[in-house]
Amino acid sequence: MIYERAEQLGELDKLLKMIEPHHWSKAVRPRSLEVEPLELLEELKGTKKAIESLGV
Amino acid sequence: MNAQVRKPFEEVLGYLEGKKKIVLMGCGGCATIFHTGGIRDVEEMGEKLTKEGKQILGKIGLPFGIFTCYLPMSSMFLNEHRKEIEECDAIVMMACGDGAQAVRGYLEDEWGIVKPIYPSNDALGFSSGGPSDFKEECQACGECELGKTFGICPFVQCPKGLLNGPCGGTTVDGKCEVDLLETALGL
Repeated sequence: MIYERAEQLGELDKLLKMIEPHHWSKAVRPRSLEVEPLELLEELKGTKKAIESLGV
Repeated sequence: MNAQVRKPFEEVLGYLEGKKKIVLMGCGGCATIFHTGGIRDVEEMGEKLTKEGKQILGKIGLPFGIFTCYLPMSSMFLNEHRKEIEECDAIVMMACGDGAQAVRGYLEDEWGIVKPIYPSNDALGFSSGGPSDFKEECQACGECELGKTFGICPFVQCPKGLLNGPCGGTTVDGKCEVDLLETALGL
């Protein structure tokens, strides 16, 4: 599949390039993440507007 | 949800070498929550790529709650940008790998269009929590053992992913050898 897709895109040469192995040991379990909280009400207002624009 | 972080911008730019006309697509699901592909993030990426000389043909930002991976909904937004997608040299997917591949499959199967698709995010696994702290809980292994492991997934929660712990590396006082502050998961 990957070969066929690369061929369709005319990018077979990219398959010749060696990709360095991943350093899996950096992925210590369980992973966690801290992000800025969403402005939930504002986001939901945007959703409502977009859904209405689709005629729903 | 699928926790994710942005790839370094240089990596995204590297993918786009030799590509001029770009379409950006975000996701109203996890990528909005993690600020990696919400409407504002898509706008921001558009500005950064424009500064690098790219021509942004389309910015497909999905509103909160509209998941890229759920094609019955996301395809409505894709359809509105068909012309730009047909004309572009590459698509940057500001979603997880699932969303990116959902769009690739849709374009190929439904429209018969083959376009280079590049990810701008690194997904970190199914995580829960919020509004700000999230922790990985499930790796979608397809063989859920929670019923036998008292609701705690050893594949995810044990640093070694061991089902039959505690392992031989457990300290005499029952701590995990990888993280000495934590009790070994099997205890």
